[in-house]
Amino acid sequence: MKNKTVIFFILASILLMMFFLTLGSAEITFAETFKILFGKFFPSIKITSSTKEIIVFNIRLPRILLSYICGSALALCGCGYQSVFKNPMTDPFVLGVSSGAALGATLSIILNISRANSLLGLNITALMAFAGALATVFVVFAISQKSRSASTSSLLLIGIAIGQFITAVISILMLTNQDSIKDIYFWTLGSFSAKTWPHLLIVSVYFMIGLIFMFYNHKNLDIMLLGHKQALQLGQDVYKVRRHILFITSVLAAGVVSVTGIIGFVGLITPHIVRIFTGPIHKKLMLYSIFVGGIFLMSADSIARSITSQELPVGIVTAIFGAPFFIYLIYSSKREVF
Amino acid sequence: MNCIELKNVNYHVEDKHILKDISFSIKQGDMSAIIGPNGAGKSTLANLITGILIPSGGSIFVNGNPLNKMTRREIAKNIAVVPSSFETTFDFTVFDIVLMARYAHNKRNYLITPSDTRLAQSALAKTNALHLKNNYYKNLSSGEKQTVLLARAIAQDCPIILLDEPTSNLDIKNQMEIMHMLKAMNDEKKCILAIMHDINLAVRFIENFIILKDGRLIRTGNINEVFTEEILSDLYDINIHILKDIHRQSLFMQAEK
Repeated sequence: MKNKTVIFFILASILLMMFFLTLGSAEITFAETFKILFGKFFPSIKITSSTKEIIVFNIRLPRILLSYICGSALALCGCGYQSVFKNPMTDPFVLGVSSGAALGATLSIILNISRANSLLGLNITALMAFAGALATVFVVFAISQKSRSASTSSLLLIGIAIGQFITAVISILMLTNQDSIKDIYFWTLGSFSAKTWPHLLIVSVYFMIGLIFMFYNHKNLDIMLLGHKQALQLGQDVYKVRRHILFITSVLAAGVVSVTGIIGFVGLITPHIVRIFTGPIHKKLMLYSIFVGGIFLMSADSIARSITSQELPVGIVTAIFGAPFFIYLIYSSKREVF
Repeated sequence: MNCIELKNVNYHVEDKHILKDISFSIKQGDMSAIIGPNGAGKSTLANLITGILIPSGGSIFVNGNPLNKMTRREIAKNIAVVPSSFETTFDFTVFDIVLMARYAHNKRNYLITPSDTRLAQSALAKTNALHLKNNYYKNLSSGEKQTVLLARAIAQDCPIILLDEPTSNLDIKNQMEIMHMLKAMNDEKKCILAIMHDINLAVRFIENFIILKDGRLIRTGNINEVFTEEILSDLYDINIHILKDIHRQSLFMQAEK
């Protein structure tokens, strides 16, 4: 049964990817897309148009794969965060990853260095966003370590407070640099526009590290849901495990955000949707969250780039389609979500 | 050899002494109860023995090893805890909950071994709870939950089982069932230490008693040494009469109106 569901999700993911490859302003049929993709592996298949080949292979395919992996990564982070904090409202950005990344990106845009290319095809904005995200998480951790209460609630509250503080700083920077407001605003809404293979490669590396680490810790995540005292009594070194999980998920979330901008909602709702069907055991929860998060974000991005003549920021689509669907599932589910 | 030994243990929060100069030992294979009025420090003592709290002074030894040198995993391999109640809003099945007891024994976090599954299954069978295996824990009755928590402690496969008021939320039938299960575990040479409020139930099953009041150790010993009208009346600040049940060779304590 379990294997059948996994095969279903793999097939559904591949079919949807094939379908989304045909969507876009340039008209490329399913058969042509198929030929272009398989032509890469079988040189005997003749490709009629090199422009179409470039569109499919260099523009659409990396973008679709990237959106899938980013969705999977954010969903995986969401599973980790919700388990550590035992809080249904937590998402991968709750420790200030998104606001820190936004501050880094804002500074690069204001300083007018955003378009300069640097490492592995990533621009300065991405690098500064990554640095900003990680620096913020470290500050949140450092403050919470110094505080008398080492509880997850205080860590969460410190994360929210620092996040709000950074958002205020960004607002000041935007008001004092009105020429850059549009660029900053669009960055914060997230986008997969102009993302290519190097971006995919970088996010894939983060994702693989996160994936291996999280599956290695699936039992730790289950036990955390029993609460602090129960976890200690069952032999878990709660503080160490919590630190490791938050560090890895924060790096993963920072990696995604630095490349794509802030894409909310996926990391928050995907684990909840999947939990309705799988229950709380993380081995299943994370496995199916990876598929559902990937399909959700890939679909949202494909809609964002093809529904109107001007591309919509993907964050808008995830919320517009995700929120009603999520409410419907909670409403119709006999199971408690959290 | 002692399975649990406390030497001059103190615990205070800021200036308030919760436990003062507690020393006692429990031998391997003993079945003991900690008795005392509310606020005596019983649960704090249990938390110190399981390493959840760190003593402000003194030392605790578990099976001869100093507790402060033991890792969380080592502690959990030696002491299984049965809380007075445990609630979760998550849809864990009974089997999920019992299987988690094997965490400390398996260093490779990602694996659930066939032996883990077998032990969890056998623990449920021992507590007559195998039929609940696939039920959601949160939907069980209080008695069933307590049985499952006991099964989890059995699956943890430790020489010591510490219970925090294991019968406090249960009706008479379930109380008796839990106590009989504890007795059966004690017969298998497990060291049982239970915090008990119901002294009449405790004296029917338990041999050794540790009496606490206001954070101090008042007395330790067997039923005859500990349960006198004078000691009990002083302990609870109310006149208590002891009636002897000759048929069951037991005592029955009754507080004066």
